Amino acid sequence: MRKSRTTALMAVALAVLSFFVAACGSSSDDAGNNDTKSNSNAAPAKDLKGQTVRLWIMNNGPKPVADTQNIVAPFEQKTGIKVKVELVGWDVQLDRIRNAAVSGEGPDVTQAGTTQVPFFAALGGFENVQDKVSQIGGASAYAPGIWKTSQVEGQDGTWGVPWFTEARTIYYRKDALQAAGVDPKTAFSSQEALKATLEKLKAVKDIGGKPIAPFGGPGKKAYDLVHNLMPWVWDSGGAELSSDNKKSTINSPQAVQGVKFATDLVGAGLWDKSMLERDGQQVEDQFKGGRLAVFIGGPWVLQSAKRADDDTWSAAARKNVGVAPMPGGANSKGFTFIGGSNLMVFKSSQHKDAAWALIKYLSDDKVQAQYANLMGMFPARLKPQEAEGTVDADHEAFYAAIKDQGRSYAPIAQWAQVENAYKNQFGQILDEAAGKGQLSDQDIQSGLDKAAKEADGLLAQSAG
Amino acid sequence: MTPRRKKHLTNWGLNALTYAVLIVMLSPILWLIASSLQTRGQLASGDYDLLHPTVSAFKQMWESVDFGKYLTNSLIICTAAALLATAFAASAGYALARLPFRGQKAFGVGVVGTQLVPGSMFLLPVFLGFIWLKQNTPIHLFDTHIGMILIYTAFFTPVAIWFMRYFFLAIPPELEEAAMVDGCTRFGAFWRIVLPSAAPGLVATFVYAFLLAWDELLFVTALTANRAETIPVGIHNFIGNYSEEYAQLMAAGVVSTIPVMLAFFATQRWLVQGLTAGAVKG
Repeated sequence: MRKSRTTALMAVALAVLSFFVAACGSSSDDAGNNDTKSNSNAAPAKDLKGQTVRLWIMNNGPKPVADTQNIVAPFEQKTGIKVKVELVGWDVQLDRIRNAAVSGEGPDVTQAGTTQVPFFAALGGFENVQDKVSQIGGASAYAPGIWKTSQVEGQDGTWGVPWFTEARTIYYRKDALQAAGVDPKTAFSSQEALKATLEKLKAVKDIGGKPIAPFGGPGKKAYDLVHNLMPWVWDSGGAELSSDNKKSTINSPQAVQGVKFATDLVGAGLWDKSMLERDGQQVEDQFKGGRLAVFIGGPWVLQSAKRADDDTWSAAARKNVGVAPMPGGANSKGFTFIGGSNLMVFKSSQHKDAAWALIKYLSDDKVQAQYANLMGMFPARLKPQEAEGTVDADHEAFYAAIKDQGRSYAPIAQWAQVENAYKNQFGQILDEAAGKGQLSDQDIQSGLDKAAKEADGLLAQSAG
Repeated sequence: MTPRRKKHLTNWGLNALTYAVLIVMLSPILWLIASSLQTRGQLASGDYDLLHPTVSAFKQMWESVDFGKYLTNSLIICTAAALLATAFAASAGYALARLPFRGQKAFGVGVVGTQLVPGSMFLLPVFLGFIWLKQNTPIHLFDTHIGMILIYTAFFTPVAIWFMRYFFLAIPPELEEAAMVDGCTRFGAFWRIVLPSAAPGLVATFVYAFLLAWDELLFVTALTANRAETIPVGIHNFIGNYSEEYAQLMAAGVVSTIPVMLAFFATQRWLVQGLTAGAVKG
């Protein structure tokens, strides 16, 4: 019995010892971080040289970390501030940024999706940079729709600085339009024109022996399904929320008509049903591979056509890609979603001045243009945007989309959850259209009522 | 039909069924390997060219994402956690099997009971605990190898204890008694006689804990920020909002499967022996 106790005690001692070894090891493992903190504490407030700014980015392009590190290299040389670029996957970024904001354990600066800024700002873990934005030209250096993404409804302040911008617009195959006998100049001038164009494209069964469908868009699997359908809702005079952002209006008669425009395309066989089972990237690849005549995409698609190493493009599609502004509705000029990413400074940052110096550098017009070009995006600032918009007719279409047609959502903290509720119902409605064919107003109304009910619940909950 | 012919046909049918099931089970792995040897364009279009494979994705995956970091982190964290869990389980499992002590039954039930509570229930307290430790003490567990090793050790030790208990029960107590008659202490008998006899069980427990840790995503997502991320987190980086690198994703899938395959095949004999022994000899 005594020996049994001795053995048991040894086992406990082994466990305790392991814990202490582990604890000691952790201190050394984290030494780098401690060094950074002590350096910042020791450095005089205005001497930023030698400080390290940690920047979280998402996988924005083919070599996200290397590309960003190259972009900031001149800044590092000039200021002596080291920038440590760290990659955070889009799949986990919401959790990561939220955890860092509430715990105070994060980097100095993070990229955040434009529609996420209000949610993150509401957590209270981010700096209000209102008093600094005059150094980068303030609101007047940005298009109003883009600047709005740095604000939070009901709060006086600026919680992010727009970094890069994207907008969605029409991509088409010039050779397909030619085969259908449609003039690209008028093919997408209105929703009716778009429908008529797709009807004619339906008769073009193949191009060069390869089958081609008139139009395709993703369904429930697309993370950005709401961005794809809301333009039709906006064109019909609908909106996502009431003007005071307190109630959902996604079940209004106008919104029903907007969604019906999309489901009618499915019902009429103009929208390839098989695309509804794919996500956005997969549909994009179908267009690039030459299987779709028309689709709606962002500026990165245009950029990728110039990259010889992107072998998702078929030779014919690459040669014949064209871009047109989004078609207008009966009472509108045609809307599109504009998004992109902003830069936010964590309250817990030990190097706020160095962090702001980095944001100032990344807001320089030339740097903006450089970075946006690398990723196939548009700069966030007006001046470089305008320059980019004059490169060619295709870029002009995107510039017009950003400048004249761009629209985003209400800057409220609850938007991400509301968007998710809308996404689920939009996906179900499209699925129903794929199964039943034409949907009635009542079918769509019933689905949107569910979305509105869920959204109202979320808005009431958060408000309370 | 003669009975011999009937038996022959039955055997043939069962063999065919076995191979059919095997093919179904292996097809995802074969698909993964075949896809990793194609270009992004071929995967996007579905036009596989199996006769002209390319290893370009295997080269690119290390450049576009710091995959080496995730692989190294996974190897360090999972190996250390599996070793610690096995060591603790061997000690505690032996105590449960051989050394009667007050509250032994309650302890045994407690060990099993920990498995009844979903692991996600612990996520928030552990996260807050790690943050508190980092901000108030010199013990830094958030986003460190040590933090993840401790978490995985804590999670996988209870089930490992139960495994090891069964393995020790299967070893005749007479072996230890004979060793102690020959002058060994209890610990000497445990170290020299019992542990070597339980080697298949130790290997099985180690590999089992290693495999569980290798695939864990929830805790590593919440408890790391950048330095201690493992493969399940890193592999997501091939999927972006604006581009998806399918071929590189598949190549990363193949590379991340290799250590698991190696661990399994290197220990297959003991693993099967150990798991079956533990299962039937309680």
